[in-house]
Amino acid sequence: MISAGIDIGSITAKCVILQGDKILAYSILRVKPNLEESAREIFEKTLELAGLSKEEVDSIVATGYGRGRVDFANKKITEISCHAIGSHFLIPDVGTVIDIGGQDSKVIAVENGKVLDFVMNDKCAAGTGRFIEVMANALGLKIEQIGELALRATERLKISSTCTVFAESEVVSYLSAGKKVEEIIAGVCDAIAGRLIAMASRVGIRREVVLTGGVAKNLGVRRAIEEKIGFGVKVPPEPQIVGALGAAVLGSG
Amino acid sequence: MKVGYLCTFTPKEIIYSAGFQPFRVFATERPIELASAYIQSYSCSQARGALECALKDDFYAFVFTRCCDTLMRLTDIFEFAGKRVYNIEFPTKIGNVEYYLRELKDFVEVLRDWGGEVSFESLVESLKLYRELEEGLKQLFSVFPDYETAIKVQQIDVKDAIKLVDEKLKSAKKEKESPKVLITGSVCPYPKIYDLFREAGFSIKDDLCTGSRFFEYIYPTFEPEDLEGALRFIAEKYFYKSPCPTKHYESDRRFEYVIKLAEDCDAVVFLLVKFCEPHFFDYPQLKSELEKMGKKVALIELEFPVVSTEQIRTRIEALREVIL
Amino acid sequence: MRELMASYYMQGHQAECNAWITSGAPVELLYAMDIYPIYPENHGALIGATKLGSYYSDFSERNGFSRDLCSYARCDIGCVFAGTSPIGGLPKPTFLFACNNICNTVVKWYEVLSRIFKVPLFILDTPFIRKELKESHLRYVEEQLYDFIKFAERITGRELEDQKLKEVIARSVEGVGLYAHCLQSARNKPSPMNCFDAFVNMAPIVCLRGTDHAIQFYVGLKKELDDRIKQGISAVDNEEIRLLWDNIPVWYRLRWLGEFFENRNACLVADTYTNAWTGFGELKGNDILSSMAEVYTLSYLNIGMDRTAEIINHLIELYDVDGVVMHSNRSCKPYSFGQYEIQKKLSVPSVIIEADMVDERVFSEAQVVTRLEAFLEML
Ligand SMILES: Nc1ncnc2c1ncn2[C@@H]1O[C@H](COP(=O)(O)OP(=O)(O)OP(=O)(O)O)[C@@H](O)[C@H]1O
Ligand code: SF4
Ligand SMILES: [Mg+2]
Repeated sequence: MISAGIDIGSITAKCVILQGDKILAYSILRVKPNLEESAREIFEKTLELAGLSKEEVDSIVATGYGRGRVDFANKKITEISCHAIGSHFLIPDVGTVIDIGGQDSKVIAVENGKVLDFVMNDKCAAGTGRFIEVMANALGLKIEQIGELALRATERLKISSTCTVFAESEVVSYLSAGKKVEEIIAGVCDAIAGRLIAMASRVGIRREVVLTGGVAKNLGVRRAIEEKIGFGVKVPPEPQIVGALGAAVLGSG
Repeated sequence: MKVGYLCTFTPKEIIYSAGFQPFRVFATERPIELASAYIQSYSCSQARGALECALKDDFYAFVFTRCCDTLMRLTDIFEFAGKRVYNIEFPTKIGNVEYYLRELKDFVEVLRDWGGEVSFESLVESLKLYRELEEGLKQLFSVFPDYETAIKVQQIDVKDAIKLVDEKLKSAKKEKESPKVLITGSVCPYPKIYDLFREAGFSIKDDLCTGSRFFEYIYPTFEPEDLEGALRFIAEKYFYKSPCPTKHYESDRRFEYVIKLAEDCDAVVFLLVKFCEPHFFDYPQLKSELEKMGKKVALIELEFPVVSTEQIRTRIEALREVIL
Repeated sequence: MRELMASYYMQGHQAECNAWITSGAPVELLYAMDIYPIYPENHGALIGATKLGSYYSDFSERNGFSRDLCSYARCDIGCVFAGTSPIGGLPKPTFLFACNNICNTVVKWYEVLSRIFKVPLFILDTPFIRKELKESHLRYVEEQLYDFIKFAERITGRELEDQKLKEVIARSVEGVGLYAHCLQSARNKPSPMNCFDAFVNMAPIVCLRGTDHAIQFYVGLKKELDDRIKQGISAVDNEEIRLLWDNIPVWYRLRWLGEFFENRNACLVADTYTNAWTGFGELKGNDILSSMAEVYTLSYLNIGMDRTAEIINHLIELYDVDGVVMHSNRSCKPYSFGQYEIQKKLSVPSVIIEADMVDERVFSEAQVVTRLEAFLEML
């Protein structure tokens, strides 16, 4: 049985191809405005990596914002369920999944891979990957550099605004006041973590805590979260594909 | 023991006379984190900031007075978060003293349950002290509107507050008179914001909860003779304090008040907290009245904590340039 | 329904005197004095349903009213500036009557109106009943009811007759009883109606409560629903999941939401909003004003969170639902703040979606779909 999971998120498209409990291949691409095309592209690319043809795949499950636009999928399911399943697949004793994507952050209470409860960020709250991207942009940094830089900071500046526009102007005014870039960026990571933990407290935080989504690769955010909850979190080797993995697991029966 | 309160209509004299320390809760410099687990982000940041403070700091209890919809729900939210709370139903429609007197009597009972006895003597003493503080602040502000002090005195013992105001009065230097700006709004607990106006060359007059709305009263003219009399005194004192948009007055007392305040000012700044409904509802019509008087009007929207001030500075400087 | 409301608005234009009134105010007093009640909130809902919310709101915003204010108010004031609306605007008020038992927003909103129209405004100030209802609160409200009668008599030159008020109250109670019966037909499994039907059919109980029109309308509706039950017709073809809606509807997405749930075999059988009006059935024919003071002070949005959660739990049980969909409504703070806490007090799972009742600009379809689908998957 070979199954594929396709996660069309607001920023990236992900695909995982699974055989039994073995990941044959996966890939990540930035989404294009045309979601159907993004879906086809990521699927084909992953097939190629796995050395498979379309016909050899028994089931395709789509998830993420664009799940409705993956016309060749057999099944569509939200990323909430998929992140829960994917995390459980990798880390069986997961109790809480924190998925920070581009546009949404989610905290999911899980038991045996089943969703018990979940919360998502409210509209104007800045706790998402896009927020970090805007800030990185204002500072002239690449998104991949952010985490490392944040870890280097000895002090953290406060980013107080919940609104991306306001927060950006805070960042700019710190810059013009001559503050160090790493201290500003550490402040950004701290702000994200602070909002997330508040959100998480609405469903309760139970161990193990698994961090997923692209932002899980940001070491600054990860450290800030760990500091706030007082224990370590688990991050899968490639946290960004956990939703797609969950979809593939679901398709495998 | 600290008893927190949020609104200038809270009868702090009664709280103090019961042996508690009334402490006005404001948003602080701390970012708002925990509070967002309890209330949506389209609530004003004064409410969220105060909640943040309540969750982190040590208070014996909190007293709310009916004010806006946000604070009405916030009472329950505080209680849900494990805080001891009480809400006094201050009328929205100003007028019925007998009704409010009843509410105050009930409040005295609540304080007793909290272990604080209110006697006639202690209440009269408290009234006297707060009046002394209020008169002192009025004097200080007539020389130099000192917001740092006005904010600080709401969070310390009234006796120390009186001393502090006295000291400040001794060293206060008269501001130059013009150009003068009237700042109107709800709360702004950050002294640095007022400094921005001075740095731009303005002298300041205000209609704010962190300024004159804390100490502008028309005191009743009778001398209370018993506890009920003292409570009646408080009811009337608060009915006829500087008017606030969260209350409804016969005739348009609130607009008239602001218009009168603006008479000797060159510009009016609405310094409003984002999502504050009572003030934002008044803004368009009040603005147009003020403009009819030839005043320059500007709106500055705040979100607490105010960290960077550069944008605000630009707005204020631009306003200053316009009226030159 | 459409004709009934059209003729209602029409009569408003012809009436010799009318009052703009808030949805939670004791309209019985107006009907008893032949003062025609006009409901700006209903007008706001209508604008929302026609998807013109942002269009009319824009007229307010251009006049300085913030986008963060209640969208009913923004639309209503916007229509005044625009001089029209989908139904040609509302007739100019003789006076204004606002009761803050639903929010303090209406006090500010009506103050704005009274400055625009230069007409008198009466505020009926109901204390918020966070815990127990006190005798002093009742007395305070009752006294104001007497004040209001004097106020209205002075302005209109009419007199309130006891007998007439009694009749109106009797009709009001009867209408509310029938209305409650209609809503409760949703207890049937499968339910013959869903909350979207309830939203569409609520205007008469709001606007015409106390008249024969409302009674006749709900007699008709009741018959229709009873028939549906008999014939086994259900609102949703394959009712598998039963849900409760909390908060004011998302007016511009009624149909969309209806189809969304129907396609997933879920039925929103009831809601807290339309059920709020069933409370007005407690009015008593004798000692009218004191009973009125009590009933109107204890309105659904004027009570503490513990009590609100109790009521929702009661509805959960009454309608036997599996979950609650909560609309976190940017426009309505008293309805929305506290939802996070109430969620924890409910006996079934719940989900929050962010939207606004009228302003379609804040609605993000993708975000709402993800939340709702995930919730249904969880159930
Ligand atoms: N190497 C990296 N280091 C740090 N952050 C990263 C890295 N790669 C991606 N990100 C962050 O991850 C975000 C995208 O995450 P992800 O791909 O999970 O989002 P998505 O699934 O498209 O969004 P959503 O789930 O909200 O629809 C980017 O906005 C960026 O901030
Ligand atoms: S700032 Fe405005 S909305 Fe906030 S608590 Fe004060 S009056 Fe209420
Ligand atoms: Mg994602």
